[in-house]
Amino acid sequence: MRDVLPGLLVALPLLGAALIPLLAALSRRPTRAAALALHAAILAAALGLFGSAAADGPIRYAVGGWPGPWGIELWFDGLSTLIAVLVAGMACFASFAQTFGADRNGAAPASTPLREGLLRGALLLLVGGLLGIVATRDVFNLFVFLEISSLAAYTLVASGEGRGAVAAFRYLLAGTAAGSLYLFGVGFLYALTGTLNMDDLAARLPSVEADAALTVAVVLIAVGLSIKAALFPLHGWLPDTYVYTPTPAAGFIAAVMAKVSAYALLRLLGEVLAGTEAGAVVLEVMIWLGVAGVVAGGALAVAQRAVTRMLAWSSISAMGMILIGVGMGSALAITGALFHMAAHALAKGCLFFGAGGIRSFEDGDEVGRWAGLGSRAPWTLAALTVAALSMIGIPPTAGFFSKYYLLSASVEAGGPAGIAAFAAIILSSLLATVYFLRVLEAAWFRAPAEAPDRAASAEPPGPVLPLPLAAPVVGLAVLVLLTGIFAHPFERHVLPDWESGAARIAAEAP
Amino acid sequence: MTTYAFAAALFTIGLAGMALLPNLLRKLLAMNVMQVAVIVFFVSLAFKDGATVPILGEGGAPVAAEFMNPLPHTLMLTAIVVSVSTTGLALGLLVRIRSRFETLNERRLLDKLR
Repeated sequence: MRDVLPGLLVALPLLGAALIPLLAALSRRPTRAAALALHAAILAAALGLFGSAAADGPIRYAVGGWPGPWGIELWFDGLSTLIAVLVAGMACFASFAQTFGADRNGAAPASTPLREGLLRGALLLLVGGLLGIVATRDVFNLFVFLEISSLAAYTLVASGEGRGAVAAFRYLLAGTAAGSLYLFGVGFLYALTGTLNMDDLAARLPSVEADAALTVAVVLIAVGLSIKAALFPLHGWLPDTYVYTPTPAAGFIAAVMAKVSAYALLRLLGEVLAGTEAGAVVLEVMIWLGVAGVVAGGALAVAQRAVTRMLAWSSISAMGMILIGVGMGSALAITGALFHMAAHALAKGCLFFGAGGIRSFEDGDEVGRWAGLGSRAPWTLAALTVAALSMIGIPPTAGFFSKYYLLSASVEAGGPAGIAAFAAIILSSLLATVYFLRVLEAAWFRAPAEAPDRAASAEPPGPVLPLPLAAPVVGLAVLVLLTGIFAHPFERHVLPDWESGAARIAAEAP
Repeated sequence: MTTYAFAAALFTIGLAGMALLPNLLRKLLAMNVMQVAVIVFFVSLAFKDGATVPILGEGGAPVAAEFMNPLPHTLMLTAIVVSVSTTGLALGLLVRIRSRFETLNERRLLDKLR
């Protein structure tokens, strides 16, 4: 199993991306079943690798039988398999949501079977790219997967009507600038060390003289990946992208896209480059930028009147929090960053599926449109409430534990950066309380807005969300609760593996 | 050294163009300039005066100094493919933007979107 699964994990989605549109050209129904089955198979492969890495230690897989440092290696430890499970799991929900077609934000994404097939292919390509980034141990291969996932994401963003294309174009400019900066940095690293393999790089870098070229390499790679991870103040592409993406894709992109880049930052800066002088400085700067992003993202979320835009700004705040953890680099901080990636992905995916659907069916995105939804669709709104509570950080949801780990890590780190991070995380919870309670208050306690047209037609209001969106919303909310409730056993059984991963990082970087 | 400075200058010109030019198509062209800068950097990285491609000739042990490192050059084949696909997708987006909003000027576009 350990010989087959690593290759399958990356090959399955890429193969599917080519085959699903072909199948769709023939017939629609089998395409839906095939796409869902494919996503389930990818999730099964990710879970298998997660279990195998937890039980028998990390897996090193040489692609095509060419061993590193010459060949490309895939690497599966507790860290990468956890993110792989997260990506593959969110993709299952997104694929289910893609069955839902009549999204106002994307006129008719599923109007023809072929169009639906192409969008499903784009989602599979995106999943393949992200899993490739998670798995690869080769810095140039990482660039290729970064661009594959980005190209698929631009397509999905542009599949909305009108403004989607503008948002996608701006995302494309920012994403390509980020990719080029990263590639430039990789060029410097290769010139200095003569290798592209991360383990080889980590082994050779200590003997490289710390000169200007190394500093340039570290800064270029950090800036490039920070743009992709939406680290404040490089987050400019994020709000429009999240808001104008059609709902099924938005739930996925908002949940995992930036986080996989944050994972790449953790791998490269926290592991490979952490030992260099420039790397240490960049990580310190990242804590402060993270603090600024947490505060600015939260404050601007409060200022928004449209719910999806508010969620997008709250994502910038969350990415700041994750990068604070990456910047601190202690075992506790990395645990917090990873836990927050998972907690935030589940909750934000849930909220985007819900808010996007409500935007389509209630003809608007303002908070007022949520008035009275609680009495019409109590289960859906209860699920969204759980996700919102997790974003605020109320126990026993997953969000409480990720913030708890990050706060503990800030206390442990101490110093001005630790104090600032502690204050920023507390402040972000207060701000999240303000902006989420506004929405929840409208949904549960305010009477529905006057709808003369609906009263005139005397039609009873239908369900708030169609099944393909309601099921992911409820499912993700259950996962948010389960992750929170089982956080303690999770910590006891899974975290030692992460901690040893962190210890390895510390040991490898002298 | 001069080629490195040239690559850095090209990259800066491209990045500045992406940020400052008002027309989306020009922004895209500036983006291409930036991508080419990285390719120039990698290609010049592996270039050596008087060296040749690493193919074994007749007789004699090969001398590493006589060969160029082919890896950066082959990497750039992939980078060129990436750049071509990005440009193609971007052009497709521009066609859609132009046909819907009837302008590619950023300021006018933002006015229409408001």
